[in-house]
Amino acid sequence: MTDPTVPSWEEVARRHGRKIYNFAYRLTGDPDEAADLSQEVLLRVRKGLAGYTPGSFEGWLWRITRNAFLDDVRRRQRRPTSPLGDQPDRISVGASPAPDEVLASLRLGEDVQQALLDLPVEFREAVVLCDVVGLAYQEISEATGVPLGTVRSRIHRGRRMLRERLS
Amino acid sequence: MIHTGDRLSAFLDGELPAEREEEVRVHLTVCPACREELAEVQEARSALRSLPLTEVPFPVDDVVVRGAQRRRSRVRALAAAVTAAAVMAGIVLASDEPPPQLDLAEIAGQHTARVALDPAASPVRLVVAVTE
Repeated sequence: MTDPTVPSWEEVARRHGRKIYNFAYRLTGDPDEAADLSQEVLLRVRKGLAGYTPGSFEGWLWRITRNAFLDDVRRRQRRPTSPLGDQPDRISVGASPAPDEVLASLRLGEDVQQALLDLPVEFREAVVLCDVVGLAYQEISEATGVPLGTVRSRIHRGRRMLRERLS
Repeated sequence: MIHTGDRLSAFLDGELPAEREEEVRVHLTVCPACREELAEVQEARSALRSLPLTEVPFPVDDVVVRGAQRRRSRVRALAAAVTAAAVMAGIVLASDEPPPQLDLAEIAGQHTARVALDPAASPVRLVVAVTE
């Protein structure tokens, strides 16, 4: 019997897909990698929903998202340094925004994106979850498995480093 | 004077309990260094928050279908390979029978192949150990 309080994966995909993709993009700096990562996350969500017991949904969802990102990093074993805007025709379209629209929107904030990629991954992850995804510190703590104090410290240091690189 | 450190970000984000928030507020009135640090993290936060939230460049609800299709076609390919191998060895696949252990040495000649068919699994799993 399906629990009515547990969302279906279609609902998750519709409501959170965009943020999942943007999290992946801001962490990797690569639209293709972000697309692959987002699909992986949604597949894991689909598999995991069957066993999901209602609790903090955001924490659960972003733990999956973040773990998928770390698995991807381990697999690729490289630091992402690809600049924005290369090979626009590689982005698959379907019933979605035109590639040049996506890239135009991605080109805004290029300097911020570059500065983000210079941050150590744990700081980058913290500021993206806080300021791009919009999670509360408690949710970030659940997603990353680190204490609140560490979350706070990483956000603060990440922001200071970012500001330093932007100035 | 004890400076506020990372409490500044928590303060900015409304993540401090009321008394701590008040302490930071009071401290800021007398500490230009911390005011400056607050301004810095505020700038970084604004820069991040003004990043465009781009649309997903693929149809989101197509993801799972495509994933499932990939898995199903892999399974079909495997099932086809199993059937082909069984036909070549002259074995008829029967899904209700218990898994037969066959020594194909007599049939294959040089190679010994032990074939265990697990019809209970879906799809049919073929385990082949080939020894030369």
